[in-house]
Amino acid sequence: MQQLINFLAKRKYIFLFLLIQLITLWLTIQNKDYHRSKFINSTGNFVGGIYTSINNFDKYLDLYDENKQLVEENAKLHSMLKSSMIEVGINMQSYTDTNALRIVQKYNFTDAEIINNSYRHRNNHITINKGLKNGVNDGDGVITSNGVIGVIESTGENYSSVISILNKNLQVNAKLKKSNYFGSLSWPGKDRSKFILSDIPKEAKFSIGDTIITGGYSTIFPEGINIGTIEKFNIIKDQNYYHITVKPFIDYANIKSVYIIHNLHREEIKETENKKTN
Amino acid sequence: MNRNINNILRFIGLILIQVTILNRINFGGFINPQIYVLYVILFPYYNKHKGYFLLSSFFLGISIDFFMNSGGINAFSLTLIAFFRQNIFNMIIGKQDKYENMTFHEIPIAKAITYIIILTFIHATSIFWLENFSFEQLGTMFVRILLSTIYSTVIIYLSLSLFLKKK
Repeated sequence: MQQLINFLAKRKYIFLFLLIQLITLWLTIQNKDYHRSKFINSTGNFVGGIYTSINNFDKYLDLYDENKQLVEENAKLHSMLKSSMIEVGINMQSYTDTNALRIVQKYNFTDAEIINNSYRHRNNHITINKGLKNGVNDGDGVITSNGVIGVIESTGENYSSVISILNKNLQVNAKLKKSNYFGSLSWPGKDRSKFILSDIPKEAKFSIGDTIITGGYSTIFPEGINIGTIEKFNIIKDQNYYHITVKPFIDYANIKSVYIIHNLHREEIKETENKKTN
Repeated sequence: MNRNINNILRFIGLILIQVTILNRINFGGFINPQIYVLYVILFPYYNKHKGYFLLSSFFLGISIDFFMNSGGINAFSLTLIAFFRQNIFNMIIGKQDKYENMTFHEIPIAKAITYIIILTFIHATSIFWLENFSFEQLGTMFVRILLSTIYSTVIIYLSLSLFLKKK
């Protein structure tokens, strides 16, 4: 017994070391699965608070670009207003008649600001300044006016962390704007201006420069959000699918304001899908 | 006592410098230097306080992980080099009775730099391996490890020579 105690006492630091390594390794593996990355994240008030105060500094430096983006987006929205349209042949009355057409809201948009953005790692995460208090939920989508940013992975009271699309663990349903062929968009690492769109069948016809948008088959993002353009493509040997390189419209190193999308029908869709499988 | 306070200040200071400044610097697209390795290099005691050394390195690493949403990657890597610091030191610089009485100005520059390079290299290798967690893109990973080691070494050596008091 005495010997055993001596043995352990002599090597207590090795045991402490191994214990620490096991714990940190476990935390790292937990973090790989974004539904479970709850333990070590930047949604706490302390970490979020520090990020907010840094962010307040460099907000001023970006005001010019920020304004430009907002003006562009405004212009786009203006062009979609009713006053910018003309009636052609059809009587608009029947469309605005509430009995003829019932519009139900499907997506809620909340604006948020990025207070910490990473894009250099293989697996990147973003922190934004809205949390549970603002109605942000796990699994909500995050976009800008011209691209997909990521999905909320965990929410704190006032802050949320987002699994960036620049991450091995996130794939987004995407499709060609011109046809309805869809595939999944992922990031192979390395270069933040190169994404891969896979699973597009070889029957699809497209050319370099065509626009890629989000597909409608996800419960996270609405259909039709711009993602990027086709840079090059080839068919994988012995497979019937294209391997398409996509260049995003936005630079992921330079994003500031984002929108959080909450799909009001997601629970319903999930429930229905679960019923089907049971 | 004085040294304890210095150590705690260094602990807090390095976290703040790392997350507020260095994590936002963008050399060549994807590198950021890791100055917090300096904590392990400058930790003043060794033999009697190995437990304290390992635990505080773990806490420094995990604090960085909180900021970077990176699980336990930084904590793992920092504890790793903390554990092997003395062995590496003995190997490169030679056995010293008291690490604590030594200042970096007493060590020949070449040896000091080799020592820093080895520590930052082990640290960066551990970080990028854990982050990648697979054998894909070994080339890119190796470039990242090398560049990260170089940047970290430069910034650590500069801060050592700028801020350490000459005795």
